[in-house]
Amino acid sequence: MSFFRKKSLFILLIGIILLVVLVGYSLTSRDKLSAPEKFLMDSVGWMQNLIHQPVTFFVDTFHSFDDIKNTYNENKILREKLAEYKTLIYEVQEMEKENEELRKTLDIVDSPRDFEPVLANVISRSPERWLEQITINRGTKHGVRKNMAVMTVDGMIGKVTSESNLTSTVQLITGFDQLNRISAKISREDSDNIFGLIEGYDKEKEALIFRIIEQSDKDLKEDELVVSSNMGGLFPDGLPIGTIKEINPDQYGLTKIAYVEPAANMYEINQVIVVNRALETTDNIEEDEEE
Amino acid sequence: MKRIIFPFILFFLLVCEGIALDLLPSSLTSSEILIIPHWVLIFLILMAMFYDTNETFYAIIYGVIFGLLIDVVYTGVLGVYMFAYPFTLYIVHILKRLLQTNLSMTIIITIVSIFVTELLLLLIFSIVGVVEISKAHFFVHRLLPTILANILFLIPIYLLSTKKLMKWSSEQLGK
Repeated sequence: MSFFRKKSLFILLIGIILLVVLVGYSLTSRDKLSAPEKFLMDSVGWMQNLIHQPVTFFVDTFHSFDDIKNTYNENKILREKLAEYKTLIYEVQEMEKENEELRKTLDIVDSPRDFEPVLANVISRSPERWLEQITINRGTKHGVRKNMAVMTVDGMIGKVTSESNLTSTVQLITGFDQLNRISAKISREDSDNIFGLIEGYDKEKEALIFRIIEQSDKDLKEDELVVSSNMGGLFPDGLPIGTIKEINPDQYGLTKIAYVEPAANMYEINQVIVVNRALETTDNIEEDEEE
Repeated sequence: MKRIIFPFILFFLLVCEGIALDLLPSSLTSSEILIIPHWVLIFLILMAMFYDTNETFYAIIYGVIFGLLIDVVYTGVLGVYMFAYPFTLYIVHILKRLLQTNLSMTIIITIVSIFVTELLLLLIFSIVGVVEISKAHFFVHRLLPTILANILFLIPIYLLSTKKLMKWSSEQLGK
Protein backbone atom coordinates (compact mmCIF):
# COMPACT_ATOMS: atom_id res chain seq x y z
CA MET A 1 0.00 0.00 0.00
CA SER A 2 2.76 2.42 0.87
CA PHE A 3 4.36 1.68 -2.46
CA PHE A 4 1.09 2.57 -4.19
CA ARG A 5 0.87 5.85 -2.26
CA LYS A 6 4.40 6.72 -3.24
CA LYS A 7 3.66 5.92 -6.86
CA SER A 8 0.58 8.15 -7.02
CA LEU A 9 2.45 10.96 -5.28
CA PHE A 10 5.18 10.59 -7.85
CA ILE A 11 2.68 10.81 -10.70
CA LEU A 12 1.09 13.88 -9.11
CA LEU A 13 4.47 15.58 -8.96
CA ILE A 14 5.20 14.76 -12.58
CA GLY A 15 1.74 16.11 -13.41
CA ILE A 16 2.43 19.42 -11.68
CA ILE A 17 5.79 19.78 -13.40
CA LEU A 18 4.18 19.02 -16.76
CA LEU A 19 1.47 21.57 -16.00
CA VAL A 20 3.96 24.31 -15.23
CA VAL A 21 6.03 23.53 -18.32
CA LEU A 22 3.04 23.43 -20.66
CA VAL A 23 1.39 26.55 -19.24
CA GLY A 24 4.72 28.36 -19.45
CA TYR A 25 5.18 27.21 -23.01
CA SER A 26 1.74 28.29 -24.17
CA LEU A 27 1.85 31.67 -22.44
CA THR A 28 5.14 32.79 -23.89
CA SER A 29 4.38 35.11 -26.73
CA ARG A 30 4.77 32.68 -29.55
CA ASP A 31 3.86 33.70 -33.04
CA LYS A 32 2.48 30.46 -34.36
CA LEU A 33 0.82 27.35 -33.07
CA SER A 34 2.83 24.15 -33.13
CA ALA A 35 2.06 21.64 -35.88
CA PRO A 36 0.20 19.11 -33.68
CA GLU A 37 -1.98 21.89 -32.29
CA LYS A 38 -2.84 23.03 -35.80
CA PHE A 39 -3.69 19.49 -36.77
CA LEU A 40 -5.98 19.07 -33.76
CA MET A 41 -7.65 22.42 -34.37
CA ASP A 42 -8.30 21.48 -37.97
CA SER A 43 -9.74 18.06 -37.24
CA VAL A 44 -11.93 19.28 -34.40
CA GLY A 45 -12.94 22.26 -36.51
CA TRP A 46 -14.05 19.94 -39.29
CA MET A 47 -16.29 18.04 -36.88
CA GLN A 48 -17.61 21.28 -35.40
CA ASN A 49 -18.49 22.50 -38.84
CA LEU A 50 -20.41 19.32 -39.47
CA ILE A 51 -22.40 19.45 -36.25
CA HIS A 52 -22.83 23.19 -36.07
CA GLN A 53 -24.84 23.54 -39.27
CA PRO A 54 -27.92 21.51 -38.27
CA VAL A 55 -27.78 23.01 -34.79
CA THR A 56 -27.81 26.60 -36.05
CA PHE A 57 -30.59 25.68 -38.46
CA PHE A 58 -32.63 24.42 -35.52
CA VAL A 59 -31.85 27.45 -33.38
CA ASP A 60 -32.58 29.84 -36.24
CA THR A 61 -36.01 28.37 -36.96
CA PHE A 62 -36.75 28.65 -33.27
CA HIS A 63 -35.72 32.29 -33.30
CA SER A 64 -37.73 33.05 -36.42
CA PHE A 65 -40.96 32.30 -34.55
CA ASP A 66 -40.05 35.09 -32.21
CA ASP A 67 -39.16 37.34 -35.10
CA ILE A 68 -42.51 36.96 -36.80
CA LYS A 69 -44.18 38.60 -33.80
CA ASN A 70 -42.10 41.74 -34.22
CA THR A 71 -42.27 41.88 -37.98
CA TYR A 72 -45.05 44.42 -38.29
CA ASN A 73 -43.44 47.03 -36.07
CA GLU A 74 -40.02 46.50 -37.54
CA ASN A 75 -41.37 46.82 -41.04
CA LYS A 76 -42.82 50.22 -40.21
CA ILE A 77 -39.54 51.54 -38.87
CA LEU A 78 -37.54 50.04 -41.69
CA ARG A 79 -39.68 51.70 -44.31
CA GLU A 80 -39.05 55.08 -42.77
CA LYS A 81 -35.35 54.38 -42.70
CA LEU A 82 -35.34 53.17 -46.28
CA ALA A 83 -36.66 56.51 -47.45
CA GLU A 84 -33.76 58.22 -45.68
CA TYR A 85 -31.26 55.83 -47.16
CA LYS A 86 -32.27 56.55 -50.72
CA THR A 87 -31.06 60.10 -50.46
CA LEU A 88 -28.00 58.94 -48.51
CA ILE A 89 -26.98 56.46 -51.19
CA TYR A 90 -26.93 59.19 -53.77
CA GLU A 91 -24.80 61.38 -51.55
CA VAL A 92 -22.38 58.55 -50.75
CA GLN A 93 -21.95 57.69 -54.40
CA GLU A 94 -21.12 61.25 -55.26
CA MET A 95 -18.69 61.46 -52.36
CA GLU A 96 -16.98 58.20 -53.27
CA LYS A 97 -16.45 59.40 -56.79
CA GLU A 98 -15.08 62.67 -55.61
CA ASN A 99 -12.85 60.90 -53.07
CA GLU A 100 -11.44 58.60 -55.73
CA GLU A 101 -10.69 61.48 -58.04
CA LEU A 102 -9.02 63.43 -55.31
CA ARG A 103 -6.96 60.41 -54.36
CA LYS A 104 -5.83 59.99 -57.94
CA THR A 105 -4.67 63.54 -58.07
CA LEU A 106 -2.74 62.99 -54.85
CA ASP A 107 -1.31 59.61 -55.95
CA ILE A 108 -2.55 57.72 -52.92
CA VAL A 109 -3.75 54.24 -53.73
CA ASP A 110 -4.43 52.57 -50.40
CA SER A 111 -6.05 54.36 -47.55
CA PRO A 112 -6.06 53.06 -44.02
CA ARG A 113 -9.81 52.78 -44.31
CA ASP A 114 -9.62 50.13 -47.01
CA PHE A 115 -9.75 46.53 -46.03
CA GLU A 116 -10.03 43.11 -47.60
CA PRO A 117 -12.83 41.14 -46.02
CA VAL A 118 -12.93 37.39 -45.42
CA LEU A 119 -16.37 36.07 -44.55
CA ALA A 120 -16.51 33.35 -41.92
CA ASN A 121 -18.95 31.35 -39.84
CA VAL A 122 -18.58 30.89 -36.11
CA ILE A 123 -18.32 27.17 -35.43
CA SER A 124 -17.86 27.14 -31.68
CA ARG A 125 -17.58 29.26 -28.60
CA SER A 126 -15.11 28.30 -25.91
CA PRO A 127 -16.91 26.60 -23.01
CA GLU A 128 -14.31 28.21 -20.74
CA ARG A 129 -16.20 31.46 -20.36
CA TRP A 130 -13.38 33.35 -18.68
CA LEU A 131 -11.42 33.39 -21.90
CA GLU A 132 -14.12 34.73 -24.24
CA GLN A 133 -12.93 32.99 -27.38
CA ILE A 134 -14.74 31.84 -30.47
CA THR A 135 -13.57 29.64 -33.32
CA ILE A 136 -14.31 30.51 -36.93
CA ASN A 137 -14.17 28.28 -39.98
CA ARG A 138 -11.56 30.20 -41.94
CA GLY A 139 -7.82 29.82 -41.53
CA THR A 140 -4.47 30.52 -43.13
CA LYS A 141 -5.68 28.84 -46.30
CA HIS A 142 -8.28 31.57 -46.73
CA GLY A 143 -5.91 34.39 -45.87
CA VAL A 144 -6.64 34.84 -42.18
CA ARG A 145 -3.59 35.89 -40.17
CA LYS A 146 -2.86 36.67 -36.57
CA ASN A 147 -3.95 40.07 -35.22
CA MET A 148 -6.52 40.75 -37.89
CA ALA A 149 -9.64 42.54 -36.72
CA VAL A 150 -12.90 40.63 -36.66
CA MET A 151 -16.27 42.31 -36.93
CA THR A 152 -19.93 41.60 -37.43
CA VAL A 153 -22.26 43.82 -39.39
CA ASP A 154 -22.83 45.93 -36.28
CA GLY A 155 -19.24 46.51 -35.28
CA MET A 156 -15.96 45.15 -34.14
CA ILE A 157 -15.99 42.06 -31.95
CA GLY A 158 -12.35 41.06 -31.53
CA LYS A 159 -9.14 39.98 -33.14
CA VAL A 160 -7.55 36.78 -34.37
CA THR A 161 -5.21 35.32 -31.76
CA SER A 162 -4.14 32.11 -33.45
CA GLU A 163 -4.77 30.41 -36.74
CA SER A 164 -4.53 26.91 -38.15
CA ASN A 165 -5.05 25.89 -41.75
CA LEU A 166 -8.82 25.76 -41.74
CA THR A 167 -9.90 27.43 -38.50
CA SER A 168 -8.82 30.33 -36.36
CA THR A 169 -9.40 31.48 -32.83
CA VAL A 170 -10.82 34.93 -32.16
CA GLN A 171 -10.44 36.75 -28.87
CA LEU A 172 -13.54 38.83 -28.20
CA ILE A 173 -13.06 42.44 -27.08
CA THR A 174 -14.92 41.63 -23.88
CA GLY A 175 -12.00 39.36 -22.99
CA PHE A 176 -9.26 41.87 -23.79
CA ASP A 177 -6.75 42.86 -21.14
CA GLN A 178 -3.97 45.43 -20.79
CA LEU A 179 -1.80 43.54 -23.25
CA ASN A 180 -4.42 43.51 -25.98
CA ARG A 181 -5.35 47.13 -26.43
CA ILE A 182 -7.11 48.66 -29.37
CA SER A 183 -6.37 52.15 -30.43
CA ALA A 184 -9.64 53.93 -30.93
CA LYS A 185 -10.97 57.39 -31.54
CA ILE A 186 -14.06 59.52 -31.52
CA SER A 187 -14.51 61.15 -34.83
CA ARG A 188 -15.20 64.86 -34.80
CA GLU A 189 -15.56 67.50 -37.41
CA ASP A 190 -12.73 69.99 -37.89
CA SER A 191 -10.11 67.25 -37.30
CA ASP A 192 -10.52 67.50 -33.56
CA ASN A 193 -10.58 63.73 -33.19
CA ILE A 194 -10.21 62.36 -29.70
CA PHE A 195 -7.78 59.45 -29.49
CA GLY A 196 -7.53 56.81 -26.84
CA LEU A 197 -7.12 53.14 -26.04
CA ILE A 198 -9.66 50.48 -25.30
CA GLU A 199 -8.01 48.87 -22.31
CA GLY A 200 -10.34 46.14 -21.24
CA TYR A 201 -13.80 45.22 -20.24
CA ASP A 202 -15.60 46.17 -17.05
CA LYS A 203 -17.75 43.19 -16.17
CA GLU A 204 -19.85 45.04 -13.62
CA LYS A 205 -20.72 47.91 -15.94
CA GLU A 206 -20.82 45.61 -18.98
CA ALA A 207 -18.88 48.14 -20.96
CA LEU A 208 -15.44 48.57 -22.50
CA ILE A 209 -12.97 50.86 -20.78
CA PHE A 210 -11.86 53.62 -23.13
CA ARG A 211 -8.98 55.71 -21.78
CA ILE A 212 -8.49 59.00 -23.54
CA ILE A 213 -4.83 59.78 -24.09
CA GLU A 214 -5.21 63.05 -25.87
CA GLN A 215 -7.43 65.70 -24.41
CA SER A 216 -9.56 67.59 -26.81
CA ASP A 217 -10.93 71.02 -26.12
CA LYS A 218 -14.44 69.82 -26.44
CA ASP A 219 -15.92 67.58 -23.84
CA LEU A 220 -17.11 64.10 -24.52
CA LYS A 221 -20.78 63.48 -24.82
CA GLU A 222 -22.76 60.36 -24.14
CA ASP A 223 -23.99 58.31 -27.11
CA GLU A 224 -21.04 59.30 -29.23
CA LEU A 225 -19.67 56.64 -31.55
CA VAL A 226 -16.22 55.20 -30.87
CA VAL A 227 -14.45 53.73 -33.88
CA SER A 228 -11.14 51.94 -34.36
CA SER A 229 -8.14 53.99 -35.40
CA ASN A 230 -5.26 52.98 -37.60
CA MET A 231 -2.76 54.48 -35.15
CA GLY A 232 -2.22 51.09 -33.50
CA GLY A 233 -0.99 49.70 -36.79
CA LEU A 234 -3.18 46.62 -36.61
CA PHE A 235 -6.72 47.46 -37.53
CA PRO A 236 -8.25 49.40 -40.39
CA ASP A 237 -9.57 52.84 -39.69
CA GLY A 238 -13.19 53.43 -38.82
CA LEU A 239 -14.61 50.09 -37.67
CA PRO A 240 -17.37 50.92 -35.23
CA ILE A 241 -16.67 49.66 -31.71
CA GLY A 242 -19.47 51.07 -29.59
CA THR A 243 -21.20 54.07 -28.10
CA ILE A 244 -20.25 55.98 -24.97
CA LYS A 245 -22.38 55.09 -22.00
CA GLU A 246 -20.73 56.85 -19.09
CA ILE A 247 -17.81 59.23 -18.57
CA ASN A 248 -15.61 59.32 -15.48
CA PRO A 249 -12.36 61.13 -14.67
CA ASP A 250 -9.49 58.68 -14.13
CA GLN A 251 -7.97 58.13 -10.72
CA TYR A 252 -5.43 60.95 -11.06
CA GLY A 253 -7.88 63.38 -12.61
CA LEU A 254 -5.60 64.00 -15.58
CA THR A 255 -7.53 62.24 -18.29
CA LYS A 256 -10.95 60.77 -18.68
CA ILE A 257 -12.23 57.25 -18.89
CA ALA A 258 -15.28 56.58 -20.94
CA TYR A 259 -17.32 53.42 -20.67
CA VAL A 260 -18.23 52.19 -24.11
CA GLU A 261 -21.09 49.87 -24.80
CA PRO A 262 -20.08 47.46 -27.60
CA ALA A 263 -22.02 48.00 -30.80
CA ALA A 264 -22.09 44.32 -31.69
CA ASN A 265 -23.89 41.71 -29.68
CA MET A 266 -21.20 39.47 -28.20
CA TYR A 267 -23.49 36.57 -27.47
CA GLU A 268 -25.30 35.95 -30.70
CA ILE A 269 -22.57 35.85 -33.24
CA ASN A 270 -23.04 33.68 -36.30
CA GLN A 271 -21.43 35.31 -39.29
CA VAL A 272 -18.32 37.39 -38.92
CA ILE A 273 -16.05 39.34 -41.25
CA VAL A 274 -12.30 39.13 -40.83
CA VAL A 275 -10.75 42.33 -42.06
CA ASN A 276 -7.23 42.78 -43.24
CA ARG A 277 -5.74 46.20 -43.61
CA ALA A 278 -5.12 46.77 -47.28
CA LEU A 279 -2.45 49.27 -46.37
CA GLU A 280 0.82 47.52 -45.65
CA THR A 281 1.83 47.83 -42.05
CA THR A 282 5.44 48.33 -41.10
CA ASP A 283 5.63 44.70 -40.01
CA ASN A 284 4.55 43.48 -43.41
CA ILE A 285 7.03 45.66 -45.18
CA GLU A 286 9.84 44.35 -43.00
CA GLU A 287 8.81 40.79 -43.70
CA ASP A 288 8.80 41.44 -47.39
CA GLU A 289 12.27 42.88 -47.25
CA GLU A 290 13.53 39.81 -45.44
CA GLU A 291 12.16 37.60 -48.18
CA MET B 1 -14.96 -1.73 -32.27
CA LYS B 2 -15.84 -1.35 -28.60
CA ARG B 3 -12.45 0.18 -27.91
CA ILE B 4 -13.18 2.97 -30.37
CA ILE B 5 -16.55 3.82 -28.89
CA PHE B 6 -15.16 5.74 -25.89
CA PRO B 7 -12.91 8.11 -27.81
CA PHE B 8 -15.76 8.61 -30.26
CA ILE B 9 -18.33 9.51 -27.57
CA LEU B 10 -15.84 11.77 -25.77
CA PHE B 11 -14.88 13.52 -28.99
CA PHE B 12 -18.53 14.07 -29.80
CA LEU B 13 -19.14 15.57 -26.34
CA LEU B 14 -16.06 17.76 -26.75
CA VAL B 15 -17.37 19.17 -30.02
CA CYS B 16 -20.84 19.68 -28.51
CA GLU B 17 -19.39 21.69 -25.62
CA GLY B 18 -18.42 24.36 -28.12
CA ILE B 19 -21.96 24.62 -29.41
CA ALA B 20 -23.67 24.29 -26.02
CA LEU B 21 -23.78 28.02 -25.43
CA ASP B 22 -25.77 28.63 -28.59
CA LEU B 23 -28.53 26.42 -27.28
CA LEU B 24 -29.04 28.36 -24.08
CA PRO B 25 -31.39 31.36 -24.21
CA SER B 26 -29.44 34.57 -24.70
CA SER B 27 -30.85 36.10 -21.51
CA LEU B 28 -28.88 33.46 -19.61
CA THR B 29 -25.65 33.72 -21.56
CA SER B 30 -25.48 37.51 -21.60
CA SER B 31 -26.00 37.85 -17.87
CA GLU B 32 -23.16 37.66 -15.38
CA ILE B 33 -23.85 34.00 -14.72
CA LEU B 34 -21.27 31.70 -16.26
CA ILE B 35 -22.37 28.17 -17.00
CA ILE B 36 -19.55 25.93 -18.09
CA PRO B 37 -20.44 22.62 -19.73
CA HIS B 38 -18.22 19.85 -18.31
CA TRP B 39 -19.78 17.09 -20.40
CA VAL B 40 -16.53 15.30 -21.14
CA LEU B 41 -15.75 15.23 -17.44
CA ILE B 42 -19.20 13.90 -16.57
CA PHE B 43 -18.89 11.02 -18.98
CA LEU B 44 -15.43 10.28 -17.63
CA ILE B 45 -16.80 10.26 -14.08
CA LEU B 46 -19.40 7.69 -15.14
CA MET B 47 -16.62 5.71 -16.81
CA ALA B 48 -14.51 5.82 -13.67
CA MET B 49 -17.45 4.63 -11.60
CA PHE B 50 -19.01 1.98 -13.78
CA TYR B 51 -16.41 0.90 -16.32
CA ASP B 52 -13.10 0.95 -14.49
CA THR B 53 -12.40 -1.72 -11.94
CA ASN B 54 -10.30 -0.92 -8.89
CA GLU B 55 -7.14 -1.77 -10.78
CA THR B 56 -7.74 -0.08 -14.13
CA PHE B 57 -7.39 3.63 -14.82
CA TYR B 58 -8.94 4.07 -18.28
CA ALA B 59 -10.98 7.11 -17.25
CA ILE B 60 -7.86 8.88 -15.98
CA ILE B 61 -5.92 8.13 -19.17
CA TYR B 62 -8.80 9.45 -21.29
CA GLY B 63 -8.92 12.41 -18.89
CA VAL B 64 -5.34 13.32 -19.79
CA ILE B 65 -5.94 12.98 -23.54
CA PHE B 66 -9.22 14.85 -23.72
CA GLY B 67 -8.14 17.43 -21.17
CA LEU B 68 -5.25 18.26 -23.47
CA LEU B 69 -7.63 18.37 -26.42
CA ILE B 70 -9.89 20.87 -24.63
CA ASP B 71 -6.81 22.96 -23.85
CA VAL B 72 -5.73 23.02 -27.47
CA VAL B 73 -9.11 23.63 -29.01
CA TYR B 74 -10.90 25.87 -26.54
CA THR B 75 -8.47 27.69 -24.28
CA GLY B 76 -5.06 27.91 -25.92
CA VAL B 77 -3.44 27.59 -22.50
CA LEU B 78 -2.03 24.06 -22.52
CA GLY B 79 -2.01 21.82 -19.49
CA VAL B 80 -4.81 23.36 -17.42
CA TYR B 81 -7.66 20.96 -18.15
CA MET B 82 -5.09 18.24 -18.80
CA PHE B 83 -4.11 18.50 -15.14
CA ALA B 84 -7.53 19.28 -13.63
CA TYR B 85 -9.49 16.42 -15.20
CA PRO B 86 -7.20 13.48 -14.27
CA PHE B 87 -6.71 14.90 -10.78
CA THR B 88 -10.48 15.01 -10.26
CA LEU B 89 -10.95 11.56 -11.77
CA TYR B 90 -8.37 10.13 -9.40
CA ILE B 91 -10.46 11.44 -6.49
CA VAL B 92 -13.53 9.85 -8.07
CA HIS B 93 -11.58 6.61 -8.33
CA ILE B 94 -10.85 6.68 -4.61
CA LEU B 95 -14.39 7.75 -3.64
CA LYS B 96 -16.03 4.99 -5.62
CA ARG B 97 -14.27 2.35 -3.56
CA LEU B 98 -15.77 3.81 -0.40
CA LEU B 99 -19.29 4.56 -1.63
CA GLN B 100 -22.10 2.65 -3.24
CA THR B 101 -22.73 3.25 -6.91
CA ASN B 102 -26.29 4.41 -7.39
CA LEU B 103 -27.85 7.58 -8.81
CA SER B 104 -27.82 9.68 -5.65
CA MET B 105 -24.21 8.74 -4.89
CA THR B 106 -23.25 9.53 -8.48
CA ILE B 107 -24.83 12.95 -8.15
CA ILE B 108 -22.92 13.63 -4.93
CA ILE B 109 -19.66 12.47 -6.48
CA THR B 110 -20.31 14.64 -9.54
CA ILE B 111 -20.97 17.69 -7.36
CA VAL B 112 -17.71 17.05 -5.49
CA SER B 113 -15.73 16.56 -8.70
CA ILE B 114 -17.06 19.66 -10.45
CA PHE B 115 -16.33 21.58 -7.27
CA VAL B 116 -12.75 20.28 -7.27
CA THR B 117 -12.29 20.89 -11.01
CA GLU B 118 -13.61 24.44 -10.86
CA LEU B 119 -11.45 25.26 -7.86
CA LEU B 120 -8.40 23.88 -9.66
CA LEU B 121 -9.25 25.90 -12.78
CA LEU B 122 -9.69 29.04 -10.68
CA LEU B 123 -6.40 28.38 -8.91
CA ILE B 124 -4.40 27.76 -12.08
CA PHE B 125 -5.99 30.54 -14.12
CA SER B 126 -5.55 33.08 -11.33
CA ILE B 127 -1.89 32.11 -10.84
CA VAL B 128 -1.34 32.47 -14.57
CA GLY B 129 -3.17 35.80 -14.52
CA VAL B 130 -5.96 35.03 -16.95
CA VAL B 131 -8.70 35.86 -14.43
CA GLU B 132 -8.97 38.22 -11.54
CA ILE B 133 -12.13 37.49 -9.68
CA SER B 134 -13.27 37.56 -6.08
CA LYS B 135 -14.05 34.24 -4.40
CA ALA B 136 -17.61 35.26 -3.52
CA HIS B 137 -18.30 36.25 -7.11
CA PHE B 138 -16.85 32.97 -8.30
CA PHE B 139 -19.04 30.91 -5.99
CA VAL B 140 -22.29 32.69 -6.78
CA HIS B 141 -21.90 33.37 -10.49
CA ARG B 142 -19.88 30.47 -11.72
CA LEU B 143 -19.65 27.51 -9.36
CA LEU B 144 -23.29 27.11 -8.36
CA PRO B 145 -24.86 27.55 -11.82
CA THR B 146 -22.23 25.27 -13.34
CA ILE B 147 -22.87 22.51 -10.84
CA LEU B 148 -26.64 22.78 -11.26
CA ALA B 149 -26.50 22.76 -15.06
CA ASN B 150 -24.13 19.82 -15.15
CA ILE B 151 -26.26 17.77 -12.75
CA LEU B 152 -29.16 18.33 -15.14
CA PHE B 153 -26.98 16.92 -17.88
CA LEU B 154 -25.77 14.03 -15.73
CA ILE B 155 -29.18 12.51 -15.05
CA PRO B 156 -30.15 11.58 -18.64
CA ILE B 157 -26.61 10.45 -19.40
CA TYR B 158 -26.62 8.31 -16.25
CA LEU B 159 -29.89 6.65 -17.22
CA LEU B 160 -28.70 6.04 -20.78
CA SER B 161 -25.21 4.80 -20.25
CA THR B 162 -24.65 3.07 -16.91
CA LYS B 163 -26.03 -0.31 -17.94
CA LYS B 164 -24.00 -0.31 -21.14
CA LEU B 165 -20.86 0.74 -19.28
CA MET B 166 -21.27 -2.05 -16.74
CA LYS B 167 -21.87 -4.57 -19.50
CA TRP B 168 -18.77 -3.48 -21.42
CA SER B 169 -16.80 -3.48 -18.21
CA SER B 170 -17.64 -7.10 -17.43
CA GLU B 171 -17.03 -8.08 -21.07
CA GLN B 172 -13.72 -6.32 -21.56
CA LEU B 173 -12.17 -6.04 -18.12
CA GLY B 174 -13.84 -8.88 -16.27
CA LYS B 175 -11.62 -11.58 -17.70
